[in-house]
Amino acid sequence: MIIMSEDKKDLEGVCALAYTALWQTRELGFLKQILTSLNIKQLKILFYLEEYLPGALITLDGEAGDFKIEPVNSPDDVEYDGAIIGKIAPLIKALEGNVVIKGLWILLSRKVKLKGKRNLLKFGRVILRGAV
Amino acid sequence: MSESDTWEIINDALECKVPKRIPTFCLGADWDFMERFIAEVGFTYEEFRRLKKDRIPFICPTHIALSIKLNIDFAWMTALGQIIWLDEYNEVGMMHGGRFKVVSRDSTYEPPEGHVKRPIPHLWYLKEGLTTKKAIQNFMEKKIRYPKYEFKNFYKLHTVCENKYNLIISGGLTGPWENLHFGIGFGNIAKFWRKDRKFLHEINDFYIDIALKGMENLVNIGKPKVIMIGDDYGYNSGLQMSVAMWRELVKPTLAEHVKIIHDSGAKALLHSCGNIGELFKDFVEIGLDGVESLKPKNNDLVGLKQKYGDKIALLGAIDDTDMLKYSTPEEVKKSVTQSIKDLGPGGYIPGATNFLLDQPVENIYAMLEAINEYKL
Repeated sequence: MIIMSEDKKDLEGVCALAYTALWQTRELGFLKQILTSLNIKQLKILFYLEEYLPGALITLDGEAGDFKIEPVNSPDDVEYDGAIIGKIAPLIKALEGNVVIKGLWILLSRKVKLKGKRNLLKFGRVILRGAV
Repeated sequence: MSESDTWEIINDALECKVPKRIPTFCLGADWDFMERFIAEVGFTYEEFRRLKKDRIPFICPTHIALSIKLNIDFAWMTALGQIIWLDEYNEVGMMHGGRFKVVSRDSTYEPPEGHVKRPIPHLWYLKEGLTTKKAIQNFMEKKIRYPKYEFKNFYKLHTVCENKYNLIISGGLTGPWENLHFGIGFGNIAKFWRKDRKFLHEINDFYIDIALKGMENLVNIGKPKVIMIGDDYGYNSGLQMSVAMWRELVKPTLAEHVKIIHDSGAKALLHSCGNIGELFKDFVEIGLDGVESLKPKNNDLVGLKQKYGDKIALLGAIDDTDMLKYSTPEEVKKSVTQSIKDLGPGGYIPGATNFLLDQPVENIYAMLEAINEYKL
């Protein structure tokens, strides 16, 4: 699959944050090498935070060395390989008190759901290897 | 840590001595500049991999990787601090209570033929997030701090940058005035200054406590040789507050910061935009080693140099709004050379007055060439 450049201006919130994280790596022309080195042909990751709607569906395209970000109004509307879905406020409030255990409890109590953890880790490696 | 040649020339300049050569300074670069830099120059994949291996950040607006690519001598990396939850707006805020916004937007840049024109990211402070007294009081109940890992990472960064890339990085923290007005806004400061000054001091003291603990950790864990506090006091036309207000709300904390920095053996600098000449006497009095930004159109730089040039170093002072943006490379070189003649050669580290933004890339190279070619 080849994604043509369909970037939109006026992205906000989670969509804009995802765009910011990936923009420089692609402009430098290194996204293809990074995705190839991680053996990623296509990866769809959803970030859906209830306080910051719409969510963002990020599609990484290893063949083209490109990405696409689509606003998502409901996690049920889209297919994905990995997802972070939930409320962000409890997590931030827990971190304000620097209580790691409380943060873990929030994850364990499913206020923030992690789906497709291996693919989320793959996405994390793309960000770590990219120009950030 | 061994003393590098780069540190020697920067140290000499900050001590208002004539260095072996004129050092170069870069505050950083925003996405507008990176769009044009990547389209016209860029990084090779090998450079990119080497920089990533050394954990050199490509993050705008400080963008240390760019400073390395441009062979800059002196750059800046400021601590961001933790993020917090702003109940009043139901959104994430910065540690001082300010709101920020991330968007993608069009730029004015027309890339060379063959390059795809795409939107660029934009992230900036939006406005204060603590608009009512109740919101401020709730904020003051929070446990807010600079996470220590930021300073641990900074130690590794400035060490590798000095030893491997001949780049000295100044550590940074947000200053007392910006913490206060980023969090509660100019309107609340003016209101409480007139009607409830005791409360204004309470919130200011809350910020001071966070900042001074942060500074202790920066000097003890980050161990930088230079620290530059970011605290804009000026508009183009003059100060954002009265001198009396600055002396009451800001000066004592700035003086404490300087003392902590000097006690650690480091140099203390201030980044402050705008017309700030009225405060120079106080800057010298509290012992600041240098002041950065200094837009020439807003400040009588030659007058400040004549009056205080043997006591405090000047940094920046290359106009980024008009001269670097609209001049030809030849005009840039002449202007930069004149700035060094006017403000140097001792006690001056030239550079663009703020983050590189929408200036032609060739003009930035012309500025650096003029500095590097300056004959002492």
